[in-house]
Amino acid sequence: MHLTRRGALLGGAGLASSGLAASTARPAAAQRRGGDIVFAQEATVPTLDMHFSTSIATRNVAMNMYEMLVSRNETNAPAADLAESWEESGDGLTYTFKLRRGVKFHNGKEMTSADVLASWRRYARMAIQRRVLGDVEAMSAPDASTFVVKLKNRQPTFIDQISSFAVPISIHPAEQENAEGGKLEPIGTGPFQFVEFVPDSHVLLRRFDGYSPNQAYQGTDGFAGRKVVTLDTVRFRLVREPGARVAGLEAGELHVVEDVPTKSAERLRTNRDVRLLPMKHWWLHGAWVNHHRPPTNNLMVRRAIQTALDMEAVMEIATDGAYDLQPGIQYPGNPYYTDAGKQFYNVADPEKAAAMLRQANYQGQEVVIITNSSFASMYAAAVVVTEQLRAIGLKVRMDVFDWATAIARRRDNDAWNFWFTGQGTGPSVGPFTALIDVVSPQLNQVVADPTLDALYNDLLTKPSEAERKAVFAKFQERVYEQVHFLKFGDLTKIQAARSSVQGFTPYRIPRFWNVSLAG
Amino acid sequence: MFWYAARRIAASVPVLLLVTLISFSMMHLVPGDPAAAIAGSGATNAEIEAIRLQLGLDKPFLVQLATWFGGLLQGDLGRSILLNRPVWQAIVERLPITLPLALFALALTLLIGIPAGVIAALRANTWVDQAVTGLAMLGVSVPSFWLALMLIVLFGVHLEWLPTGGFVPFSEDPAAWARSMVLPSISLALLQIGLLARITRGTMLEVLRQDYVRTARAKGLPGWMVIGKHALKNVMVPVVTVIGISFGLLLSGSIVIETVYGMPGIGRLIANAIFGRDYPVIQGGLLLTGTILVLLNLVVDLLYAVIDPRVRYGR
Repeated sequence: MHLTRRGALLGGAGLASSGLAASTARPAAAQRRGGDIVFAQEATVPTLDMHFSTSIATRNVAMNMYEMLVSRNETNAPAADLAESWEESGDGLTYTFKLRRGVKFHNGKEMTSADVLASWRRYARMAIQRRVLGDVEAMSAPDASTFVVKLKNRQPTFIDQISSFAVPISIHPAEQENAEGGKLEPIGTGPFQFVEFVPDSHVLLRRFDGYSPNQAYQGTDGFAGRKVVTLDTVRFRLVREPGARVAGLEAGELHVVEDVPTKSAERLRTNRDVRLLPMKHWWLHGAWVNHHRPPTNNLMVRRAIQTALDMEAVMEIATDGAYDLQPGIQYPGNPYYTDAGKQFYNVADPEKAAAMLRQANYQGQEVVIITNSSFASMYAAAVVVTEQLRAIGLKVRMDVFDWATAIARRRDNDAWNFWFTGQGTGPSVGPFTALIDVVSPQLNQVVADPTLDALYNDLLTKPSEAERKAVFAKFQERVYEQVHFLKFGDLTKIQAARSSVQGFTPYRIPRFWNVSLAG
Repeated sequence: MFWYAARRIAASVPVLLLVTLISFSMMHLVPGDPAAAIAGSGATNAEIEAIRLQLGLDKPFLVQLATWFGGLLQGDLGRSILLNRPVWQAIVERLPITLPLALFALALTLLIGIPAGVIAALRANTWVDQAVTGLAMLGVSVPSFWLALMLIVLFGVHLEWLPTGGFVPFSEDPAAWARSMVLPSISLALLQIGLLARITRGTMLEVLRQDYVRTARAKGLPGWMVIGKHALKNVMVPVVTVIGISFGLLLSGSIVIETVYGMPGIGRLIANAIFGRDYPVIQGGLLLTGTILVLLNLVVDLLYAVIDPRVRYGR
């Protein structure tokens, strides 16, 4: 078999980011050993089985316990983690992963390719995003440190897909292969190991003393990197109420908190004991557009609506001022960022929109907006959009449901015109998952767009990254041009930490390796 | 009285079954199911169906209903879909949080609400009465989540006397457990204190106008005996009813207080089950809540006989 070296050792990406890694790392010797850190999060942890969850609350905890073969580095590029290296065959159909040696599970057993094989099989059998492995023809473990994947079709984005941490392909002991969804024993190879999980209260992890940091890296680098743990324990506490999270931080009971309200952040800015850690472009607000139900089955009506919306007003109200306006579905700095389609974004011209509506021969059909009461910012965005659309002469009805009902209603083609949502713009989503809902057969409620489907296929199959980036730009432009999705803006998520917490760098998911507590 | 109680309990069984049947049907009629919640908003129908299959939710409604009732007859409340454990276990795990919280809140309610109401009635239309009535109105009117946050800011952040939230098990650290209970209990009790004080005051004012009170005073009984022995006993009949209802509500858990203080009690269990469509937990939770209310009603009825000698429950 002819092999071409695709990713150099550490997947190249790891080395590429080593400058950044070095800057975020702290020499372990300089860090104080010991300490119990408390992280407060807003959402309850439904399960610790990452194969069976799309919840970020699950990943907040579990990414500190479990590891993947290939993960992402600080700049979202694939980076080797449990794999030492990987190679792609000349025909692009075979990937051979060499595993790091001496990696142990929390139960003391050494990890081998049999565990990787079993974990991937479990993922392919029952994981929520098992479609990622849909092109896999066969998997094998020819020796203890080699894992081979054969594909049915060439898939140049295979490594990008398997390294995504949207629903991560975490590695578990082979004995767990047949565990049903949500019934996985919490055993992994990560730097922290499981102690207890009290639903609706907390998850407690402690340092895994048998952990061998990956010496190929310098320091923190996404979910790969050299992970050195000095803390004794990390407690992930559920504190839903934002005011209570801020109070706990001020009182020193909580060390790191997520989602600080804008008003509280203004006050905390003067508190010397607290550091604010804003993460710009954390989440984008928008709405899916139904091309099946009148009047949004008419492109001219959709364009009129797109032209009417003032995104600044929408985001100001929805996020209390913590936002950025930019047309990209990725954010500036992401490898696939593009502003293609910007001429359609934030036009905010109601007079022109009203004229377009007349031109479209709008007959007064009701426009139904579905939003939810579970996420306050989505609800607020819907209220503002409703008013802006009424102002150009549209008859609008806003239906508000809880999240579970809103999801169910979305599946009824005739029940809505706009479905309000939000999604990550960051590393876990990436260009291949962003807006996948407008591609067939993913999207079952909106009329298929063959041009978009073809572009998406190109995005997955074009051999070079430069070609894929060009395709993604066309894809984004097509989404704007046909108004498949209305993007409002990017939300800034503000984390905050006590000054005593050292080495904590904000990322999409909190990481507690290379972190220490002073004093 | 024993037979009366036995008859009441027997009569409540069909009521409880009906409550669970209606709630089971209603929850299944509401759109959304656990599979969709787990899969996320962008999942395809095929992906949701696959999860539904794994969770056993693909079976027809009547089969699910029959399975649930069949289990119930054998004392099995089923298994939580989202928590991956038996429902009874999920409920039992929450009782050490909700039960003491409810008891502390009830104790505060009784110790403050009844004396405050009595004093207000005895000093009717004075500044004391106005102060008690005003504070009681405040207790009833102030939103509990706001009050809870203010207590956290005052006692947790500024004075640093008490924790800002979280629950410490008694077995882990009894002192920390007690400290973790103080603010939630006060937040939970204030509304009930306000209610009880107002009802006690109103009832006491009525009783004080009764002939037997006038007679007791006329025959020269000391004031404390008139109030303590004659008036208060009659005040207690409506007050016990209110206490019973309040305690039932406290035991069912307070979603707001548990949310603000990060206490994983019964209220949060049921609320999360509703949002995630965890049918077995909703069923189990409603059955528990219904049973508590039925039993407390029975206890209240039996207490009437203790308080009022004219009430007798024969066979």
